[in-house]
Amino acid sequence: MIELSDVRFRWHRDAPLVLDIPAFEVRAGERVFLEGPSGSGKTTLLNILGGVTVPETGRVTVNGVRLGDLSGAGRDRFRADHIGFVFQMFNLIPYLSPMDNVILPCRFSQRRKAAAQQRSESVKNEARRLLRHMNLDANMVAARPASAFSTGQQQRIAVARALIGAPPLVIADEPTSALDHAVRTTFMDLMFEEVTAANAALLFVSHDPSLATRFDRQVTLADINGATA
Amino acid sequence: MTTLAAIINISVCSLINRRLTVFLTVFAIALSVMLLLGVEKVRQDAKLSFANTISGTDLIVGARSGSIQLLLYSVFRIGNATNNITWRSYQTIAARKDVKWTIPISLGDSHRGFRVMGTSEAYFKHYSYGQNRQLRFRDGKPFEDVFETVLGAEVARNLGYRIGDKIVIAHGLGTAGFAKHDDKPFTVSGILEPTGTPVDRTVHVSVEGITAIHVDWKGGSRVPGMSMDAEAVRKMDLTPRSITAFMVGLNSRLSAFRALREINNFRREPLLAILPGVALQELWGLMGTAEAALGAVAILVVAGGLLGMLTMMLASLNERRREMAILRAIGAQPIHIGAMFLIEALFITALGCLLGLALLYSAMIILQPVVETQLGLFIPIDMPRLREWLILGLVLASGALASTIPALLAYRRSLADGMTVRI
Repeated sequence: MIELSDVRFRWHRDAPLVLDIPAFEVRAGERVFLEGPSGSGKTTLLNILGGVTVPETGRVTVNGVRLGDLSGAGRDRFRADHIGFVFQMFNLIPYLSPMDNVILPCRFSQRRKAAAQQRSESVKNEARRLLRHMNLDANMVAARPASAFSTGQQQRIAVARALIGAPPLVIADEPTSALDHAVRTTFMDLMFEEVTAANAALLFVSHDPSLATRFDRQVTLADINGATA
Repeated sequence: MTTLAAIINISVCSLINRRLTVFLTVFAIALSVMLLLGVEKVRQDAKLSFANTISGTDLIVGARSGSIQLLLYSVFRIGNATNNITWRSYQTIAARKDVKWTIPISLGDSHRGFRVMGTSEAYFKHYSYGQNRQLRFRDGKPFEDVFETVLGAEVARNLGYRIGDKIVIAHGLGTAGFAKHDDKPFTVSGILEPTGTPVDRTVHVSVEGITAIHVDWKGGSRVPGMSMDAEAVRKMDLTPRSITAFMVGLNSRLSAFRALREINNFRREPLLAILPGVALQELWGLMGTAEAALGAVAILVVAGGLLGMLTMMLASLNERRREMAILRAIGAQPIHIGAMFLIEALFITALGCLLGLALLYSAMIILQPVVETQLGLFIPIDMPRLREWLILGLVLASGALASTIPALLAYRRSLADGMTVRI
């Protein structure tokens, strides 16, 4: 699903390398825990995988497509089609309803729209299904703006959005660090269940090793990244 | 297509979310648009109203002064004559071979704020306005007796007069004129149809009537001990000794310049003859500077309104960085982010234009009667004309142009920020 080889990145020519990854791979459907403290080039890596940032050298392949072959707009479309993101916080457009937030990727990607329609007849039905699976009452979430919901609820809405239209890859960047312990376990359970059901690969980035046990594989960023800042 | 729809949808939701600041911005633009269109409308309609007041009259003759002044007091009842001309001179010119008709004008008295004009029956026969439209009677007929009067439509409506009512004319032009010709009341013999010109606000009597109410007056006040009743006056020779001005219709337009030259060189007394069209042009020339100044102010106010929008959008740029990053993560291109700001500006400006139009028309509906009675300008309420649509289009284009600044900034920032914002 993800293949990096000889990827190097630095902010400008005289700056030290931020990333130097000779090789890194995530297979289709694989769930990988990537451990890395903040400041270890984690954000840059995610931006490179999303095609928002272009590495100085090296090859980035996602779902069999070399990102370097695509234009900027092409990478944006690729990201819309193939990757669902969940961030630490501020995942939702605050003035849109959770429902509108969840269906948003289908408005930027025909592919995900078609997949959602195929699964549940309409995009809205699919959004309702995912929200229900994330333990959110679909009627309750339709009316109020996203900003009216608790952090835990917002994170679950964000997972539903990342999964709509069945993208083959979900990248989660510390999605639990803003949640307290009790909520965290439920969140992880729900997320795992749905990612598995969608048959998507999951790259889960966190600095909390206690979460690592349930993953297929555990990788420390410092181990794959030759650049030591 | 869905992407564009999504961007428009997000922009609208975002605007609704910030409704207070957005409304104030829209309102500022609306006020400026109202001012701009208002100035344009008044400019056009004032010209039209002036130009429509007189037609078919070849020359206006009065005492020597300025041509604009003569035009203003003789036709528009604005300002006063500095001097009168003698009845003999009037008769001499009226008898010229190239003259078809003349209308004498005698001004200086008033009735409850409306000006009284002494004239002759020729006025109802020959005076025309607009596209050669003649005066028409809604009620009654022209004055026949010395003490009969014909009222303009606005006078009758405003003061509630009907045929047969008696009115008293005051000396001078003040509304509270305490010197009244109350011993010689006039009977209303006719009421004219509305014309949209100063005729509507004029009380018409015969020039003999003007003489009659002044026989026992001298130098602006009643001569003590000398008082004549209406019946005695009626028997006197009431041919006036002087009038204020007169209008001339010629047999042929072609002789206008020769007649003009000869009247201006009149031996017996200093006269001034003007061509109404030429004097109107002079008036436009005079008003041109004021028009340009008003127009410039209006344009600056619009620029101010658009700058307000620009400020609001730039201020919102920072607080919307997260929003932009989320959209980028979902797959929006930087150009989509820029387009959001463009769409937002178009929405705000278009709403401002629409609200401005609504405000303008409300203001016109409220002010139209006031302007008509106070200034004598008839401002018709009609659909915006091509020129006004062009102005609105220009405002919209300026709004879009102004928004390229925040749009470009948003584009560049979302390119740099990517999916994550460090705040």
